[in-house]
Amino acid sequence: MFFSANLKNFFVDFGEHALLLARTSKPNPPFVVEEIIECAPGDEAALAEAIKRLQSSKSPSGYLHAVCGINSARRVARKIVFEVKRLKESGYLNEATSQQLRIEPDQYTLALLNPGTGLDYDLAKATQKEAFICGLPISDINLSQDNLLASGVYPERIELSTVASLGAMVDYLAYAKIKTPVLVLEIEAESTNSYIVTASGVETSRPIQQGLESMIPVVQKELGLKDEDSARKLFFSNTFDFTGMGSTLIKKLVKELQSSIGFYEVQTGQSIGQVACTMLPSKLSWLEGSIAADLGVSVLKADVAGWLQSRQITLGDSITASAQDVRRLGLFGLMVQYNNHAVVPEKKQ
Amino acid sequence: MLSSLKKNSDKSAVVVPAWHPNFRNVERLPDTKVVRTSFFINGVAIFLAVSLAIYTVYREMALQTLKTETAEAKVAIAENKPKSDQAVALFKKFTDEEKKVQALQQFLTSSKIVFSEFLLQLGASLPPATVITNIDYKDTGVILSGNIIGSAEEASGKSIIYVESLKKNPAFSAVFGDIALTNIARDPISGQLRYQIDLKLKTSPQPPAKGENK
Repeated sequence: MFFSANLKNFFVDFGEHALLLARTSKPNPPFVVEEIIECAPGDEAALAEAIKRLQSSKSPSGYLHAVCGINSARRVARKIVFEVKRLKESGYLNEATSQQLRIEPDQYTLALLNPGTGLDYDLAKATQKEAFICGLPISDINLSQDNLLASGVYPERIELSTVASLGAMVDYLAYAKIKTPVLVLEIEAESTNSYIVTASGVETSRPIQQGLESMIPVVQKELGLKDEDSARKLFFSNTFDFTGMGSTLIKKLVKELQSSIGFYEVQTGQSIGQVACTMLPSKLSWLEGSIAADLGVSVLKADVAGWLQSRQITLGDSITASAQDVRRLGLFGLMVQYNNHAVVPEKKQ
Repeated sequence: MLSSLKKNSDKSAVVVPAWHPNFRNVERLPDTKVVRTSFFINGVAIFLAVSLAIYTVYREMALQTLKTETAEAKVAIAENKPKSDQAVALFKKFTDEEKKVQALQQFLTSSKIVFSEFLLQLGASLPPATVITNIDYKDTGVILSGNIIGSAEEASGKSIIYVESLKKNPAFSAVFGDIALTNIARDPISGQLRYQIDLKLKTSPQPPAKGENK
């Protein structure tokens, strides 16, 4: 109890379409990712089995102590603009947040980051007018936390998978020396979060009210199905080749994206080079190619293993190449420790 | 408040890693520490307290036992005191009488010779024309001093013969280990020969000759 060295560390990424659990050889880099297990979300039995397989002997507390990445439909992960001079005004930040994000800040747990470095935004110095704000409702945090505990997972940290993914993408682009911006898309059921990311940080963010569900009526119409449920089952089953009608399905989404991309390109003079969809279920991975084709860009093929190696993280032999794609950036992003962290002075109330 | 909301929920993070804001609500987490530090502190404290208590009880019991034994001893003393006083008085008397006896015994045993007998034997052994003028008794022996009447040659011969006769005398040889003529000189006034004979007592006391200690 006192002298046993619990060297292993665990990471759990609760994605919308997949639950990823990983075991590493040590808590801090350099370490080896020994095993990654994927479960369907909501499958308690599979999760329990995965925990049992990952953790050969139970910890004294009975929990799997893990760094957790979660997602919430009501999460926020966006760039926010404010007047630097007014930052010192009491209540200004809440007001700006409320106006731009249309949320009640008092009901949220939020973090303000520097969009370039990912570090805490220093309100005292306040040199930049843009910040990256992320967070989720307190009730969602509590619910997620309770669900984690009920599942046998004790959260050592609870982070947003989105933030972990974006941080990983920024770092990857710097590692791969990719100078062109990448469009990162989190396509969910009801909405899509789009980010333009470069090696310098998160350039833009925009939520789009087009998601996978918006494609279902198109599928039903195109295939002449009797109802949306049938269309939904077919759409998510991957038994039908939808690539032919891909453009039709994503038309509205692409239109919105083109608008954002065009605005960015005009402002910065930089063109988007690649697209990466970090949240697509594996059965809908073809959507990434369709979106890239319609936008006239390529799909980002990330050398995840090489990037992790540069961060002193080695993938074990049991981890297949197929497991090393951008959909796992959230999980790997939880593991990577970026060296540019600093001590932040205590925030004033 | 925006920026403090996250910090309040997890007060552990002052050093915030990049791209890793922590939204954990520590207050709602269960206590997973299997054995709390306070358990050990309390355990050690209780152990010390119990040990001290046991030690105190042990010492108290030992003290009670001592007190009981002391009381019993006092009762025994009180009961035996008259007899003890008597015994002490008798012992004092005994020691007083013993002193007398010891003094007597010392007197009787300290002297290695019986003077009366010694004088009689000395007188009997005295040859003619030999006079004893001084008998000096010491712890180590006797020194006889006297005169011998006669010419120088006769007197010196007589002195030697006298010494030989003393050596051969059983009464003296039993008591004295060494008998020697230590000085011989002529007195010019009287013309007599002065002599001095040393009789050294034997080192271990010899039982007195028969009839000497009566």
